[in-house]
Amino acid sequence: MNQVLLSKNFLSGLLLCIAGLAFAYFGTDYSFGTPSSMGAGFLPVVLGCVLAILGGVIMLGAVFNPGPQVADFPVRPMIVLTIGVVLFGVLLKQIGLFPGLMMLTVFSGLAGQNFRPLFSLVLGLAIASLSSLLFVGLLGLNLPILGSLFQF
Amino acid sequence: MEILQGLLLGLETVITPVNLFYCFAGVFVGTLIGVLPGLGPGATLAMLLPATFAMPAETALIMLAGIYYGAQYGGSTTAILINVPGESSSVVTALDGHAMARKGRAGVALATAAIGSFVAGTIATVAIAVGAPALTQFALQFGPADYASLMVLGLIASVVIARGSPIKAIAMIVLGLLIGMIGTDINSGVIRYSSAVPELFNGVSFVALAMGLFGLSEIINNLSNDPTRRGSIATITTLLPTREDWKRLLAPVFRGTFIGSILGILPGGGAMLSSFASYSIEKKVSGREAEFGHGAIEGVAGPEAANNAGAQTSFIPMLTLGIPSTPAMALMLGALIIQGIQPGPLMMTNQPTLFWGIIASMFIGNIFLLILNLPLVGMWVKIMRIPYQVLVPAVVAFCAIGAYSIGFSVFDIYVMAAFTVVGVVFSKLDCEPAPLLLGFIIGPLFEENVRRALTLSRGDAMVFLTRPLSATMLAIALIALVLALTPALRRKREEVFVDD
Repeated sequence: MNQVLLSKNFLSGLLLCIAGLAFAYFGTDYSFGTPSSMGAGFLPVVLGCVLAILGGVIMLGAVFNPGPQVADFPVRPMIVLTIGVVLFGVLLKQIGLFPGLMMLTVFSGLAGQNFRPLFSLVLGLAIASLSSLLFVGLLGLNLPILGSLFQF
Repeated sequence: MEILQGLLLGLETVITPVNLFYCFAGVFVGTLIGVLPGLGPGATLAMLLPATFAMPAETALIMLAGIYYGAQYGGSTTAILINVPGESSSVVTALDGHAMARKGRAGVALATAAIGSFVAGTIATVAIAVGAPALTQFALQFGPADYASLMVLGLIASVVIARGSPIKAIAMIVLGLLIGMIGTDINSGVIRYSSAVPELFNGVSFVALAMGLFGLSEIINNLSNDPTRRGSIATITTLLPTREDWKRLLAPVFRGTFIGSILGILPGGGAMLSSFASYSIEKKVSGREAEFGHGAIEGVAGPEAANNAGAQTSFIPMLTLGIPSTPAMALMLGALIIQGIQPGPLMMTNQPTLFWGIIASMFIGNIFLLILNLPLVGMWVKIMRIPYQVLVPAVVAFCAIGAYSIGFSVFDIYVMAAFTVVGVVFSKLDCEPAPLLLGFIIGPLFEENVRRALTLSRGDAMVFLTRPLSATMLAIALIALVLALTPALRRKREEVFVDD
């Protein structure tokens, strides 16, 4: 059973099916209309159902022929890097571009296999200075290099 | 005559200092990224899109096009020197190109690749100049039903030609279409799926989606694959092919150009399929089958010409029909839409400088590439030594700033993060993210045409079958789909992508 549940085909079918159902369900909030004058909900509901059916077919296929199993999922790189990027967004206005990029570089290092703190810090300094110079200095991007947290 | 006038207009557009500079910048950056393993042209284009927003449309597209075909060049350099194909289209080049390098003929292999690409690029430019206006004339007869069917055909064909499971790819397209519907519905003004999130009223930002789906998720997948394990870099002695080499490489170059120019136009075809097809043909035609895999110059010349020709002619459907055949073309189309231009049959008459400027820039860009890649190949060899640990944070930083700069909004950074996760999860489940992007880009156009067709026919869905053009295209799509799902043909299709 596990062989089916953990197969790439079953899981992808499941995800696609859920996505389709979600689009179809929330699509019913909008007017459906008729084919000759479609409402905003017409195609989303129809396509959502199509997606749900396709996902179902993929799942069903996996029950009979599971195919390859999920392996080597990059859990750590994915989680660490995504947290880094989201934190960069959350803190950007408060801490500014320079510290933000330093932080992002450290997260990128942590996402990799062998994290070297000093290396990441030096690299972070280089990336933060070059990017601040390029994007804010030369291209005039409207972002504080140091955010409100550092302003007195 | 019209074509000649068009090309002249295009040259006038390109030969301004600003456009020449960005054409050069484009091919330079393209080669650079092509040389760095682990970042495909999709990721590169997505990363650099925000930088082009402020430019005029001509300049932006000239630069983006340069990045795209520049990446094809750069990819072959790494394929030959370190046996790591920088792009999927140079996978076959690695076979004989690297074998040549091991025999001390790395320089000749590089020169062959560059010459093949240059010849192919030049001829393909002419092919675009002739083919695009012809297709435009044809496309002007299309009604909404024909357009919708054409999009179905294009999407299905891209599934059939691509590798992997067709049904998964179709599901990813539908998911892309649905994601494309988030935001304000242009027909009714209703806000779909996002009434609580004002940032999404204009839809999911296409650049943030592409950067997450391609850029960051590629990085994450590579982080676990450890691409730092790289072989030694072959040394380059002489670049000059011998008289014997010249004799052997010319015919494959022209054959490759021809194959690439044809296959490039097909939806989903583009550069990769062209190079695979050319390799298997050269193997049969050359009469030196035993040499293939051990450094046959034909095995470098043909595929390199084919992938460059294919990369360029894949612009034809994008420019004339407004339908992208590959993810790279989808990004190009997105860039045009951001500039406020809807590509399609009217583009040639409404935006002649843009249309012909892009075409003429490819000719100029190929000259730049020849200079960049032959005399300056030593510089690229140095760049190959940049460790991955340095590259990753730089790319991540670039994406994060890029996502913010789209609309000066932090929200797009979150969108990018979300699609990073989507990209990683689906690619680990053997669902390619490329069809999702194609569906996402085509989504609004598809919905508009389906609605309009059905309004015109008063809700009669038979309109898709009674209009001859539309019916023909749907029939072709259906046949292609059935063929792709036939087990025997599926096996054959997988074989094409496995180097034999």
